[in-house]
Amino acid sequence: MIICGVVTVSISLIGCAPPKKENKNTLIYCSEGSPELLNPQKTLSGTARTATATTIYDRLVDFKPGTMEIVPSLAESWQVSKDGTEYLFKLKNNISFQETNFFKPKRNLNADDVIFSIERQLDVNNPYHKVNGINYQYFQGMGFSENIESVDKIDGLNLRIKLKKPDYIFIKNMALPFMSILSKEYADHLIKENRREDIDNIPLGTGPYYFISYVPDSVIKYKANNKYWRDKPKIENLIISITPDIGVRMEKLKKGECDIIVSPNPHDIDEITKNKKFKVIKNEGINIGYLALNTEKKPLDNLKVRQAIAYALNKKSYIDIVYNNKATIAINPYPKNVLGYNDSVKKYNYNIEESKKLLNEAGYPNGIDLELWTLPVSRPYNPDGKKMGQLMQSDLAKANIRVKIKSYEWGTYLQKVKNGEHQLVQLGWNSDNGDPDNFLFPLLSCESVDKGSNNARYCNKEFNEIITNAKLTNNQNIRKKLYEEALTILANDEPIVPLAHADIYRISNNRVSGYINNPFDLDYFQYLIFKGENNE
Amino acid sequence: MNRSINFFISIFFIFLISFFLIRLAPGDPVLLMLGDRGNDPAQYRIMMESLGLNYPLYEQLKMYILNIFKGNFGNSIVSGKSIIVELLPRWKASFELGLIVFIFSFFIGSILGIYLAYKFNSKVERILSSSMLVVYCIPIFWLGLLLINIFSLKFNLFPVSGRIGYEFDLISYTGFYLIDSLIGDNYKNYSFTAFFSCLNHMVLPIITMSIVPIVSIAKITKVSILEVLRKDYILTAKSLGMSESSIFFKHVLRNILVPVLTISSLYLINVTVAGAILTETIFSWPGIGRFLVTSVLSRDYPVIQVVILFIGVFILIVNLILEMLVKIIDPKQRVKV
Repeated sequence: MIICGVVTVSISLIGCAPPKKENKNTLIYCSEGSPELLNPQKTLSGTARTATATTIYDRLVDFKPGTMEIVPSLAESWQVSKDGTEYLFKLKNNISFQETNFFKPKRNLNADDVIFSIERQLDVNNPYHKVNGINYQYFQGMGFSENIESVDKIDGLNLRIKLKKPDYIFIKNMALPFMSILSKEYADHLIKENRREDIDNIPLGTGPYYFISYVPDSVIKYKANNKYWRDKPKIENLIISITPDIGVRMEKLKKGECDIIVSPNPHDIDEITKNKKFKVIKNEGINIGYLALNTEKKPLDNLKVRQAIAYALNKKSYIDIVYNNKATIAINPYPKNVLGYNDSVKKYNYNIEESKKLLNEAGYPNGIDLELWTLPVSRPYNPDGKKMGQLMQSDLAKANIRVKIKSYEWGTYLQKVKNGEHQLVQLGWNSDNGDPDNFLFPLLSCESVDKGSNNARYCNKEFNEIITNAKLTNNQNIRKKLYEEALTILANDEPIVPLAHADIYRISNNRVSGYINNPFDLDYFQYLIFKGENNE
Repeated sequence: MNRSINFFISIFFIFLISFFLIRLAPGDPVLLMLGDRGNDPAQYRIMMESLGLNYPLYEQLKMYILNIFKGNFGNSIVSGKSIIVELLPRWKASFELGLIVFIFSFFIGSILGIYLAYKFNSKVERILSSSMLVVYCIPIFWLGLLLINIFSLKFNLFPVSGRIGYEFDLISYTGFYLIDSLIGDNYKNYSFTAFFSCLNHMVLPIITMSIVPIVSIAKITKVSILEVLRKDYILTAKSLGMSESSIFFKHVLRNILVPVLTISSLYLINVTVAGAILTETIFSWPGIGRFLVTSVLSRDYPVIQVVILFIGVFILIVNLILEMLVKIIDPKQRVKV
């Protein structure tokens, strides 16, 4: 009754709200978080990367949209020296930076811009290195800061990058958002005006959309770059509307306030699939949700105990209930479309008897008591850690493995896992470049034990040698063999129980077409078009 | 004089508490920034050093206080931006909404309370009072979604979320959209449409945030009135033949003003800060409540400290104003030193 009263008052207060015109030339993309900064060199979240890397910026090379194949972008071509330590890049001619109302570039892209973009992250003496903090997590995490020896200009359009050690994944990593090319001319201009920090707040690049305005936690606006060097984008205005609540994003889509929404609630997807007004876009995510078994702790240092746990888990039920069937069962630490996926590894199909038997052989006829830590945040690779934990608890109980469920607030969780205080812990991983090394090295190599990403604290010399060797060659057949071999060893050791590869979803309204499915959780806007002119 | 010393001592303690409390929580900002990706111990150390987090706590406190006296509130760890730059626009967004909610719920709440008091024990009053209790118990989160579902989707009256329509590019003069949209170039470009768009976006958040304060204010008003009506001087006034309305304006209203004002100003604080967290998330309102939550989750120490300090100072100021108001209203208070 109060509500009714209040509403009548408010409506009469406002009078007639102007009818909302649907803008034919504006695409509204509803994302979940607000980017910290508008620079992919410095941001980790998917939202922040989509807000910059595929709109404002380009890179020297790119993934062919929708695939994991590397194609030229700003670079026309490149050569790798025989020993794999020298990369020569030749830039395309006549690529212009965006002309915006805050900056009018006087020259086209040249080698200086590329060198600037790399050196900002590499060289601690670069005038921009410390601007807005020194967190270049990707650059450092991918080993660029250790491995790049020098970046030299040969002439206006040619440059050379020298590495200390050969690295054949280097070129794939060059396609990642953090290698976006910024304008040196603009950077110099900002130094003159004494407002360096604006390089990450008012960004300028060569990409399909240029930046108009950003209200943190609210909205980012872009306009099509009509001089874009590829096909010019079809949709004139792009708006990223920051809508953190998952339910509200769905309502906005239904109301027509969003054209595309990210990460819908898995439980809404089936219902919306039936609705002809919307399109559900499914991407097979290059990710893994897993249960790590701390191999340094008793009794998990015993292989038979680990295998007993693996046999006792009914992965199928997690896919059904936790992921609402929006995922595939994992047997390897990475999904099918990644090099070296091995179908013939030891599979631990749900088998309580086998589990009991193994536990008996391991010397625990009365079962064991363990602690299970459940993921406190919702991630695409595991949308509901708690629910999964409860299912695991009842599964394990059948095999006489009694687990106590625990969880901590996210910051505490990470800290404790990094310190190795856990026994069983749920975690996951999203790949950035789709290379097997991007899974195996951080998650399972000896070098990563102290970095807080190898959460099984697994270190097997043989396995480690294989994945190290696999990085030293560019021959895809040899690499494939090596990784298949590595995965076989891994499955026998079972330091982690791979659980699921989750699908990544977008839902768009029907007027949008041309969406390119992409495994990396990035969205390309330049290919989108609005269908027809039918009024809705 | 005495009061201003108290004021600064309180601020200092708020400051100390905010400094230590957040640092005692496990986890640290660098770890959270890197998230589940892991990090190289050497790199981790460099980042901790660059943020000055490797020093002992008392050193950090000393540096922080020195910086504040230089007028430097520091930078956010997560974005590297100056905290004031991050904070001010969000504060204004919250305050704009909060102030309207306050005024709105004050008037609706007290009018409702007066009505209930005068209809006390009638059928209408009993139905209203019990339904108010039900409304009071509705979780804000659910209420927000319900309102969106009904008024936005079914009746298409209001937008689902946001602060202003996307077609408007407001130039920021004051940071308060309702004011900005009516002045300067904004008015020239859009005349009243921007203002209406703003107002339109505010309706659902206002209702969502006002429900609890309205019910509370109505209740306190009702109870205060009932108490005053029982007093002897009301009986005297009645026996002197004063009219019902002049009794109300001369005696009742004046006597209930103090408790009602005190309670509602508490709600002003509540709605601009605490109550805002959920509402801001649901309605994608770029305010301070949500900012505080995300900062706590990422252990952005400098931001958390300043926000808490900000809120503390705000509460103290509201209290100060309230005390002065009460003095004006209540003659009894004027005598005291």
